Amino acid sequence: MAPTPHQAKQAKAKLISGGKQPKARVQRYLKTTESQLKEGAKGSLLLKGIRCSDAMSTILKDMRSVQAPHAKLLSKNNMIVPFDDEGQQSLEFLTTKNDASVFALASHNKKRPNNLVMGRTFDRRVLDMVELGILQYRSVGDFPGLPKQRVGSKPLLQFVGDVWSSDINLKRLQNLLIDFYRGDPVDSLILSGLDHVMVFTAAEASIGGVEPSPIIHQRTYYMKLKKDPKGGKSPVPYLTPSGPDMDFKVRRTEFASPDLWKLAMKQPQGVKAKKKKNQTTNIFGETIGRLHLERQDIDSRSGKKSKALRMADKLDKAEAKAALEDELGREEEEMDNEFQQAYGFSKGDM
Amino acid sequence: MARRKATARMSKKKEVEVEEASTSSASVAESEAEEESDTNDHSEEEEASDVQSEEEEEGSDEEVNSSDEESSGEEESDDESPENSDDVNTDSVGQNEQCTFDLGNLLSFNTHQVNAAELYRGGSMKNNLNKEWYELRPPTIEASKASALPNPVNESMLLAKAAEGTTQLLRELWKLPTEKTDLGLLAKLPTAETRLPRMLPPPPPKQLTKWEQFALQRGIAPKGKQSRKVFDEATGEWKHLTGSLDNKANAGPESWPILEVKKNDDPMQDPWEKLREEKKSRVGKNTESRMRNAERAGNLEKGTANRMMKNVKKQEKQKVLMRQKEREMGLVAPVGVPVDMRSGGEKAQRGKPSTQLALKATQTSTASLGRFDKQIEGEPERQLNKNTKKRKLDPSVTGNTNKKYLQTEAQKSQDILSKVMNGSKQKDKDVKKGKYAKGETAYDYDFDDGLGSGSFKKKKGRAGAGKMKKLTKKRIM
Repeated sequence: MAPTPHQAKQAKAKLISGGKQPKARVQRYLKTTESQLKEGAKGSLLLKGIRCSDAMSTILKDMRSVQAPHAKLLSKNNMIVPFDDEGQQSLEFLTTKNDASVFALASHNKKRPNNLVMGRTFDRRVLDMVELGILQYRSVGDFPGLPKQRVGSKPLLQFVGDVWSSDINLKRLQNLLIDFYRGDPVDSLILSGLDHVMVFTAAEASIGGVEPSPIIHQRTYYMKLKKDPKGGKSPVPYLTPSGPDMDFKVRRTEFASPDLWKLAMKQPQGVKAKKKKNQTTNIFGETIGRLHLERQDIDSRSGKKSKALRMADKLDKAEAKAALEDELGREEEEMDNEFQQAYGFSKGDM
Repeated sequence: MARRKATARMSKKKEVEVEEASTSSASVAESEAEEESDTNDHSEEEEASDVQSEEEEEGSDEEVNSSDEESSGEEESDDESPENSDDVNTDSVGQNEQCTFDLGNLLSFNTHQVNAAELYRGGSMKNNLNKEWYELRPPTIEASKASALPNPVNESMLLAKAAEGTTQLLRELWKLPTEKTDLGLLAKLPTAETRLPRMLPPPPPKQLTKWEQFALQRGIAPKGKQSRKVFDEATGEWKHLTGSLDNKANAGPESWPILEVKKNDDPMQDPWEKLREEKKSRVGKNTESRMRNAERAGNLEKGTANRMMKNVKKQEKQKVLMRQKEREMGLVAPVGVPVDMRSGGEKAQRGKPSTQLALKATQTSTASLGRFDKQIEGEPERQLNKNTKKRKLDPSVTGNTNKKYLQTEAQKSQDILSKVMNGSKQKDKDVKKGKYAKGETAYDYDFDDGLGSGSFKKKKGRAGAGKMKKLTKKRIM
């Protein structure tokens, strides 16, 4: 239950102005909802639209099993029209509250049968949305007896076809699909744990239409690594179909404006690997470093004073005070003398 | 070579297109074409059937011409090694389509054209795969005739392409630097090439607080980590630094029962009260400076610190005034020093009333405000404040948007309105009793005859019911 930006602001203000701190567990969770330098896996939210058929529900269930544990499936129908402002607001709210940044909304009606809207958010606002019309679907249950992938394993993704790079819509769709199915972004991987491949083949099917609309075939295969009979180091995969197979085409799209896209792609400076400039290795193999110091302002620096210095300070001050008092005393005497001279009697006699 | 002749038989247009296609497509494709032209010499028989299929599909010219060679290459190798396809299905496809990779994301891109004709070829007997795996059960969503999907899809072709891409990707992955762990071979992946948008914008750089700026300028090092528990001299135990006075380490003078009066102290002042007030002022200062730092950093709206300080000062003033008033009016027992020792002893009360007030004060100064405390035998009933119910605050104040609550609020205001418009039972009763009577007249309650309501006498029986008023329908609001 991540807080909406408004709630987060209020909570922060309350904390600062002397409010009670939440429990440690809650604090740790809230930290994960804030922006981080290096981001982890994208949580996905799977929703049902205004009316959803059983088939579409199985699609969502399969998606959840593929994307587990980062996926959340909501069971109730939602009155959301995704290409509407109101609908987008609802989506933004739901994704924020469920810690998701990628969503899929399934619906079915006469005008748009077997509709799936996939999208993602940036900064708790909708970034991209693509509406897909599913032409054929084979769920995980349609391949009984065949081996399936383990929960949470990372897939090998593959994009076949030249249309992926030529069509603008498909370019963005490719990006979105990678985001959806990538899983945890990792630095290192145990290679024997790879067990499934997802292949997206895009083919141009021109059937009478003026503009050919590409059809995309998504196939998921369970991969068994076998030793290369030719004796290479890398294994050879043996693929069997498993998991969700989907044939779809793109219906409507609402991609991000170039400004928002640029903002979303901006990476923080800390993530880039920096080259160490001040280290050199000499011919003896010793690593030598150079320290570059800033200009030090010695005058305004304060150090720790020893007791003797403090005492000395005190004595100085006392001396100065005494001297001052002496001066004042002398001044008074002088004034007194003047007074006597002027008036005949001293000030004290008055 | 035979391939080129076959194409030359077709119209000149297509010839031109072939050349265009070969030059426009990637250089890799060209090299492939050269490769395959060699293998074409082996099996000329199949070309006849291919030529036929070529002549059929004139719609997608470019695709047919340029990817023709590829598909033929695949087909040939299919026939060459049919047995191996059972065991390892990569052998069925030669390494003819080179893919590009993004190893950081385990991606592979096969940017060669897909032969749509091959893909949607229907009823081919070579598709053993279809029967074996894809016809175990009917698909969840069937491809209908209305849909644009040309049925059926050549699954074996898709699988072949997938297998090839995967082998190449695995080959690249196994080239990566690895280290042996107890779970297996751990490969270090390079940074991902495909850039993906972030979930949230990157965190803003932290702003230094006023103290941190000063420390940086003067070269004062930060404090360093404090240990969780500190040795408490008084009790000889290890205690936390923070907590209640009983559980705190080195609690300090607030917890000591006896305090010395030092040179500059006023002997008449409560030293513990003084300490409490000092602590309060310190805490207030701390919150104020934290708020100002947050404002500077942008975490808090500008001006909230000032508002908070103003409010705090206002409240304190009010409190002080209220206390003074209460003491003057004698509602509250005198606090602190005994009455006869105080300088302003005129207004202070002595004796029974003062003691009673003091007793009342002590009886209600418990957590439950004296409601559940035991009473001694013979003690008179306690005079407690009767208004100890929890107030129901307005939701606009608490920020509570509980629907149930809003409904009751709406209901309340509706009730009031209906009572005003239509009259309530209670009001009728009161009218009969004579509360609203303006004069002496018995049955006309609204008439003011100038004699005063005190002399109103309620009549019994029918006369007391008053004039028969027109019954109006209660309006449903």
